[in-house]
Amino acid sequence: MVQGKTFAERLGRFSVGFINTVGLGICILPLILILWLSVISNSVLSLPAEGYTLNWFAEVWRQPQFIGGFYLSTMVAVGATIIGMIVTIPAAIVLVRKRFIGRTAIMQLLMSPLIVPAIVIGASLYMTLVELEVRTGIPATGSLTGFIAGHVLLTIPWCIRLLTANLAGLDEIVEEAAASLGASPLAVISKVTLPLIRPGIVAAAIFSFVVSFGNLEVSMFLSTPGQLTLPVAILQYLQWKIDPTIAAASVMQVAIIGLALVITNRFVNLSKMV
Amino acid sequence: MATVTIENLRKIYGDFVAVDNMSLEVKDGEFLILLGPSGCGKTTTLRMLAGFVEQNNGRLAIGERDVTAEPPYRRNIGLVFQNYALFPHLTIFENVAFGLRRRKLPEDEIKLRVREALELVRLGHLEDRYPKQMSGGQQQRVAIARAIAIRPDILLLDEPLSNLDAKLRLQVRDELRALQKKLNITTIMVTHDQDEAMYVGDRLVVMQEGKIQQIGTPIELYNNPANRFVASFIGRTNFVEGEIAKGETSFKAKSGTVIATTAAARASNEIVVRPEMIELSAQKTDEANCFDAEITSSVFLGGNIEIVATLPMGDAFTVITTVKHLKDRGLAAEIGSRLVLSFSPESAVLM
Amino acid sequence: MTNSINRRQFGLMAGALVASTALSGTKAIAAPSGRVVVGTWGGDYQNLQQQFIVDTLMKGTGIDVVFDTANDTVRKTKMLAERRLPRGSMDIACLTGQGAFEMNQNGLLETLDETKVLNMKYIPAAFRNNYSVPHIYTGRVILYNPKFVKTPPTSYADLWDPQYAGKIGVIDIQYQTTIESAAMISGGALDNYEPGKQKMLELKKQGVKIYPTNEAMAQALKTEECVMCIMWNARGYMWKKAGIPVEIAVPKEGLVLYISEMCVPKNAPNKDAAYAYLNAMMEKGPQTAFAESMGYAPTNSTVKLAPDLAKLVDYTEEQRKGLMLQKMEYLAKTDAALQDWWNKSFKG
Repeated sequence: MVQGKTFAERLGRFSVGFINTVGLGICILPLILILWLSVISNSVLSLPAEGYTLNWFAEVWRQPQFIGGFYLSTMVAVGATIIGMIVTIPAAIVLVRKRFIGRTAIMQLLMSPLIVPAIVIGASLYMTLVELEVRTGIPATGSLTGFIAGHVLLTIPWCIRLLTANLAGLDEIVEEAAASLGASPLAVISKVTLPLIRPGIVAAAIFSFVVSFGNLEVSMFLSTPGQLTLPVAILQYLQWKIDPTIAAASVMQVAIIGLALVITNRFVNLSKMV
Repeated sequence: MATVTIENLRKIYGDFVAVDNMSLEVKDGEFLILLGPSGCGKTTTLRMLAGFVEQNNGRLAIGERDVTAEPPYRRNIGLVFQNYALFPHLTIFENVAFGLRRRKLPEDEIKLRVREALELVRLGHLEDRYPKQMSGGQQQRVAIARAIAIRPDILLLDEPLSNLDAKLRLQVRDELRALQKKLNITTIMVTHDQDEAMYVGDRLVVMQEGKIQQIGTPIELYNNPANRFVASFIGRTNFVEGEIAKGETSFKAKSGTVIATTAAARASNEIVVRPEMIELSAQKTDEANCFDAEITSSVFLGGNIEIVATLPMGDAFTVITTVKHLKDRGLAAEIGSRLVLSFSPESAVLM
Repeated sequence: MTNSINRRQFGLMAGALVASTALSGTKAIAAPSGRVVVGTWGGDYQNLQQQFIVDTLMKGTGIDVVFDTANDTVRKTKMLAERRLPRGSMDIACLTGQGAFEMNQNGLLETLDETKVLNMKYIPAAFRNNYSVPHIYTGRVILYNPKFVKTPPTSYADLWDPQYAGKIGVIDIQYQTTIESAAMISGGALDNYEPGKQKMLELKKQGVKIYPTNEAMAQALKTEECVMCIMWNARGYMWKKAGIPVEIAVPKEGLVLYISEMCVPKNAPNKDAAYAYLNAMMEKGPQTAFAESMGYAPTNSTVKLAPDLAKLVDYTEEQRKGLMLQKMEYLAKTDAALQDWWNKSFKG
């Protein structure tokens, strides 16, 4: 494109570039800061840096709660994501393709975990499980099922939001073509709909994983005694100490999620999906 | 290959009647056109035949099979859509193979039929491409190949040429017609373009407001339109309002002009004269209908020239002729020039 | 052969029975076993329990200790929520003094059987109650940077000394203890904070700095932005260990205590094992470890710390005369109003 050469036009282009750089910088700055803080040798999180060391990463390994926390958070996040998808994909298809009374209300209900404060979700889920146990005797509180179910609840709004958006963009006519060629409704979904909403599925999986991994409040209330997720472990560590170990734990967390994204990118071109 | 029977088909949306008690028999191997303006119910009819819309009332049969209650995937139909509806995530080969895979045919059979179908539309060399790598015309041909590969009982086309540019439209139109004749497959096509309809169709079904106005061959519809709507829809026409009683041979136009016709089969108050039936000359002729006129409009269309000539009484007639034709008769095409219109009594068709 | 046992056999059997009873020592005839769930704070608090109680004292006892890690707010919520469950999720709940008081007010705690927790007899009278076992404690002191505060402070009033104006800090989340300290030097008492409010406003006029959390205060002390503050002794000890330039001074007004309590919910599934754990908690090993590692003083009066350590975290006989407990009922009543005043009048 031919660019205008007047002063005002040049200034305009410069300003836009400047704002973009600043915006990008603001997004990346916390990551850089955390990375920096994880290698300073100050025993109290403060600046200026007294020196540099990698000790804090070793300290993370020495904390059994952090290692266990990484593992548990990953397992729970993967489990909640998979179950969340299995539950939401059919729901999204129905919500987008069928018209029925109460459709909007159901959509709002499914989105509601996003607007309810997380601590309210955590505490009330716990109270619900207690009620369940009181009335039926099923050992619901502190159970793994309850824990995963709580996390699935967190993933549902993201899955619904992203899947319905993707589905809405998919022209029904392609599904009609498949049906006319002899595909039963199940075949249409498996051979046409699902492959075509792959971007939505990938995006939903990523968001679900991140939301579940990072969640504090549901894990605090619903986790089985003895099982600790990473965010809770970090919070508890902070109760007593404020050294850069948590910065190191955070860097490791970012690295793990980053690695997961890189691996996913090998199978699915992420820049086209999300 | 099969016939299609539509009996008392009806579809209502709220209080809007989309298709009003329609009945139709399609002959085996016929290329039938559903023609009409938007909202006339032609697409709804096609979609009910395909099984995408559930009828409120009526019976549908393909050949001997009653398909009224069958879902689309059991009707064994081939469908071609206006915007192709190819599967973007599959190669051309897989697109065409889709219906065959659903029917669980052996791999060799599938390969054979896919290649055969693609050869028919002359796209055999592109089977490994993806739809987005192909032009609109190519995509439409793939869609056609995909529909015929499954050897359906009938072929349904929903405005298949509307998304193509003018030149491509003619090309694909010709290919479609040739293909249909070659395969001898019963085909129903929906379109709003009467030129297209007349070119490819064996019979045309003109629809308006959910009802069939007239069914017939292009010639029948053109020469003997059943009503004003059909007359104006098919080709260009001149209408003259007036009155004539049963048995009479002269039509008294509202303007006062008298037009000679053949004996009226019944009373009528409108006649239709096709533009190309009107002869232009410098002098009066011995035709029964011969009028002085003045050119009030003249549009040059390339091959043809469209002139509106107005009689002293005020009736205006559209005439389609060529520049050569005018020149040969020593006539000028400018507005204001005088000439003589004439047409036979047979050309004045009573409504 | 008769059915009766002859005297020799009887003697042997009786001897064996007596011997086995003697060998089992002070343990109950039916030894506690099974799973015990300890609801506790995590981090070092849990790690020390793991190291000095679970991996050492509880080893081989047949008791399987599981930690339910959370902060005390979550713990209290859970306890309240599950009060109707026949078997609750915790056998032991670690709470602050105030938290334990609250839970007891709500009727959630088991009245403790001292015969099952024998070490309870070593707890000083000042800390005793019948619904919880005090685990560790610490007093509220003054932390000061000796580089800038040349004479060690002796009273909370020293924070109001004009020469340090602008270099004094208070912590937002510690509003309640801060107002309490101000009340103690302005004619108020532990059940009357009102005079303290006026005193706090004086401090505000002198340009006091308000930090959001304990950690922020630690950073301020490290960067020397702040030279003196009120803090719990144990935390001050930990900060000193981490290299923050502070010394500890005990105020003459007396030491208000923070006590970390452990209690047993009424619906604890395994009370016997809970008692065994509570007892183990009071043993010399863990009590010393908590003092060395985190700076909390032991509640078991028979545990004597090394002199250097005792100087920093424990209190002399003289100082112990001034040990005070907070007035829980007063706090429960006035907390909301206090918070309101703090946010509107002091911070605003």
